[in-house]
Amino acid sequence: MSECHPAGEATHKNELKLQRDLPLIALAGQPNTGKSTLFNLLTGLNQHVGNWPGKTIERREGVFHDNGRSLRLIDLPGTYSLTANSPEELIAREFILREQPDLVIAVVSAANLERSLYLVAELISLPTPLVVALNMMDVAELEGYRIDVEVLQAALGIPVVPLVATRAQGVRELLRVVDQVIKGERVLMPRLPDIRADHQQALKAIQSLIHGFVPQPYPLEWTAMKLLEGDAELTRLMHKTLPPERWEAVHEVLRSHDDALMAVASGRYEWINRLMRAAVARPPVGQISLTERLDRWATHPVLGLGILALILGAVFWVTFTLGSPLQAWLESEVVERLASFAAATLAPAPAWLQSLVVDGVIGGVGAVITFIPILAIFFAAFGLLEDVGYMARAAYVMDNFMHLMGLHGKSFLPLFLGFGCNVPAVMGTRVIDSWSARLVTILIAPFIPCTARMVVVAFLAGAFFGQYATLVSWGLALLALIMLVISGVLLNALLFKGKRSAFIMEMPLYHLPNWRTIALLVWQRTLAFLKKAGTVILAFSVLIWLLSTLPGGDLESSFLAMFGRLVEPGGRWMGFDWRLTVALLASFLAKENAIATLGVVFGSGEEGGLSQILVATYSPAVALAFLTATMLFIPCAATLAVIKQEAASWRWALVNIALMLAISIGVSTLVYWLAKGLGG
Amino acid sequence: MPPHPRRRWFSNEPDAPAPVSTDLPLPLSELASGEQAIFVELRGGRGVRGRLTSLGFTPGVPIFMVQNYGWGPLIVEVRGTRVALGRHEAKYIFVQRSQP
Repeated sequence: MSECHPAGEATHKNELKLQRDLPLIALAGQPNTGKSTLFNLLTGLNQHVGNWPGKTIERREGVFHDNGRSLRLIDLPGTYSLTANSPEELIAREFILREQPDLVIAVVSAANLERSLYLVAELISLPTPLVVALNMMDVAELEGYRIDVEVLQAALGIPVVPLVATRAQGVRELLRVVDQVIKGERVLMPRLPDIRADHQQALKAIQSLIHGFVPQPYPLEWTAMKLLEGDAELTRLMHKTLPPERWEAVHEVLRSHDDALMAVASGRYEWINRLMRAAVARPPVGQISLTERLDRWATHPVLGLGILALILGAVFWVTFTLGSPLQAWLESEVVERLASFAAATLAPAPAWLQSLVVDGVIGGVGAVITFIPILAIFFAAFGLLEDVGYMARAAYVMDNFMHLMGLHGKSFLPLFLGFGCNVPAVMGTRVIDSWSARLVTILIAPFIPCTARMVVVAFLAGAFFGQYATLVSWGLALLALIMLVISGVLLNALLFKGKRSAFIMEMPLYHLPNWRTIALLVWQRTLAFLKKAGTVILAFSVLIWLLSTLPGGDLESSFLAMFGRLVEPGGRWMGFDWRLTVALLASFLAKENAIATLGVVFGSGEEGGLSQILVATYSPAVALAFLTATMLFIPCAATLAVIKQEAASWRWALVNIALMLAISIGVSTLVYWLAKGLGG
Repeated sequence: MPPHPRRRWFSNEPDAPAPVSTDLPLPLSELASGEQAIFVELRGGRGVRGRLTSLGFTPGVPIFMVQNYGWGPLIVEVRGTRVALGRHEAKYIFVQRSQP
């Protein structure tokens, strides 16, 4: 699957070349400081979302205008520090050191000043000019903090601008300061943190040992500090660069100071505490914060799960009650009209061309378009829960359960997205910090019953099981989740020998949602889905059309039917004839295609007619087996494409296909014979 | 519900010496909800050292146990931030009980 279209790439490069001359500003900040809100506020829709080269980490870049001049803005990944603990931290610091932006804006949370200044303590030691954006002043006030910005600014020696990014307060002032610093009208006299006193000798010793050997663009003192911190990346680099005897000497110093990381960090926190003592008044004792109140319920090991279940239920209810009518409307008013318009326009054209456009192209595009309302509503609900700070609580209460699979709470977040669509779920695994946990999550995500599969289940269960339809639907969803857990346990045991990853997660303060942030999130996620799924589904839709048309022009004698008959013996285990087998295979294109394909092979366009034909043709046992197979069948083409992209190899996509194929055939065979035995 | 005695988030006075306790350091996972302790050291768990440090776990810092039900993950407050930790991770973090 190719990522870039040649033409698109060229324009993008041109665009970047033009922007090269613009002043470059980097936004740095810890997670939960409102950094993205500020980025969105400044750039609006004028932003480009991509990946950092060679990494599956989101890279956001945009342009904004101030006082008749344009500036480039890069949103660095949110990181707690600049030590190479994670790819994000490496990206952030390499960008600042190598690209040398004109200015770095450090976003800190006024409500979490002590911790969020830690990154500032690191940034201020780098050669790039720094401005502090003191965000979330409203939340800080609510929590009872009083911050003297003037004093903080004087103590830091660099500009500090108070902000409420969610209400766009303080942005004008921030831009004014940015402008002054870039033009050199404002002199910065940063006061740097120092290493704890008992390690100053060690720092000096290392500094003199590596002097003259530190490669560009790394500053000398900074490199010495990072070696003391035990930074893996720089240790490797200096080991390579230094002559062996010098490296030995450096290594000796490091060995005799193995608590140096703590000394460096303590030095930074002492620096922070000096700032805090000067500039911050503490909240009155005895005040119970909103976060504390809400967390007594939301993070309770039992009540918390109940609350999560209620919230999940509400999200699905809203998604389907709002989304389904919209979906039906789009189907009848847009897709079907488009199809009949195309059919009428192409009436003089050869029949194959008409069929290609109507069945192949419009059929494929229609599947994507009608799916969007459900997906967008689901994304909005997810975005809202994320923005108010609830998602960290959901991850927390699910941690115990996720441990069964060697995963921890954070893996729950992408899996939750999977109920909407597996594509964003696989992409969403980026929040997981360990590779093994991420890979397991990617491989089990396709078991999550997405809305598209639930549509198929709802239709067929309704036709076959009448009043028990809901029960059957829930049972099938539960079955899929049980398979998810079993696969997760097995994958973890086989691939990673039960290794587990550390669960360390900040629980952000609850705050009011910012609609702009959520709207932008929905827009970007939907757009990403459209780009990814849209292109894959369109391509496969045309391919399937070809296979179902060639060589004779009708389905019964097509390649697809031939293939269906070829694998029919396999389908027979599950009680399928060639038509059901073909329908199952077609669900690879997009899950809801299973029904459309049945409509085609039974020559019945409208669904009411189809369900009657199906009930007359197949026994309930066959129907149940078919639903089971559809639920557990290999991921759709779009999901496979993102699995390949996120796991960075086809190998894992193939592992996933093999796993799901084995499970879907095995389980639905079992279901078929059980149901038959029980008299279905 | 465990009681939530109030603690000071940070003090306005210069760094006071940490309250001295004669108890031996114990794993953070053994602290009950509402108890307060002083971070002593990280034993083992090299891989998480950097992450914990940047979140504020440095020697001498007060840690407040917000929630510990004796099983599953727990929540602590350190330097004004709530941090969720897996039980496994909390076993490597050694602290000394202190009076709130």
